[in-house]
Amino acid sequence: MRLAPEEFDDLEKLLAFKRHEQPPPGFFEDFPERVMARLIALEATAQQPWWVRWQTGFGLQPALVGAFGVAVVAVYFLGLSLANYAEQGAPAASGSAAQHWVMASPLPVAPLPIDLAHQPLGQSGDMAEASSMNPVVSSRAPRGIFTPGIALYPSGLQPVQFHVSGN
Amino acid sequence: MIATLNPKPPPVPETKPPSDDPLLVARAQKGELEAYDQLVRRYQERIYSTVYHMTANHEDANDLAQETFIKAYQALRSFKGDSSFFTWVYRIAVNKTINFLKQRKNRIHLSLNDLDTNAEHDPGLLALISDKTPRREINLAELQERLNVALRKLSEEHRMVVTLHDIQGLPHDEIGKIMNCNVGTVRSRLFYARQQLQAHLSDFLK
Repeated sequence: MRLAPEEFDDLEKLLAFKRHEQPPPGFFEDFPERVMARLIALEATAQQPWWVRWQTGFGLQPALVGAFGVAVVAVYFLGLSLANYAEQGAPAASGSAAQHWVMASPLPVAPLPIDLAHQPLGQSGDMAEASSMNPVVSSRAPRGIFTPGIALYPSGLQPVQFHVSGN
Repeated sequence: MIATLNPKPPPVPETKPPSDDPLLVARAQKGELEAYDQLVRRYQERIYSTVYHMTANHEDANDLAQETFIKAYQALRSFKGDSSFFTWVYRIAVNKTINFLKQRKNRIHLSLNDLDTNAEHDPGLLALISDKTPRREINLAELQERLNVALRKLSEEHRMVVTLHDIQGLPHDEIGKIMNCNVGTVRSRLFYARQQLQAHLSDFLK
């Protein structure tokens, strides 16, 4: 059944009754102040640096702070284990350990003449002879004062002088 | 005592926006909060009432009305003046309220405002009840609740049309602008919603 518009007159009167529903006294006096207070607070927040806003946001949600702390610690340990893996475990991923050591054994190079070994540092020409095919020229330890048997001076002895003054 | 009361329902607010709205909007767009404060004071009652009649909950209406004005301020720079500020802010309120109701479907409880002191002396209402209702000792609070429950049975869009037209007194074309639909849709929604309400409130309208 379709009703003519005038059939709704009574309903309109009944609906007009809802205009009598009013919020608590003073509500509309305070309402603009509440809106303005929220707007000012929002503007103040927007003008703060990002880290302060971030901190404030966390301050309201302790669970997030805890989750963030756990995430930071997890990332730290993950990075630590990845670093260890890169140092120790990475070759194992590409082949067996035995194969790795075979490949890393010193290449069969002829021993350097003794003269060359006794040349002063910087004069041996080691670097000039290194290449990508043969990166290790000498299997000897570098010459130095802490290497027994290999002296910095061709004579094999290092000069030492003690001078006692006074008495 | 009673003679001093105005027994009629509160008048329907003037729908024509004041002429200085564009000036206040321009000042508010420049960041003048005082100007925006005036706009809030000007439209707070209509926005609050619309949201309240949709939600039938004072606390929700308070929150949504505040959020409407905050959202409007934040979006004010994008307001080009194609419509009046009145229509624009209404549109924000309507969209916010409909979204809210769709999200909180069936999880909203009534928190009705008190009736003002004029309600029990409203001659139109009293005549309606005494003429057509067999229950002479009608309790106004019960009628208020029945009315709100009946409105809640309508879809959000139908309830909005009834609220804007029959309670707020807005014309069809203004409702069309606010709800972003044509006048024909507004009329058909209004007709359907009234039919539904008529059925739900039949014992008050015999």
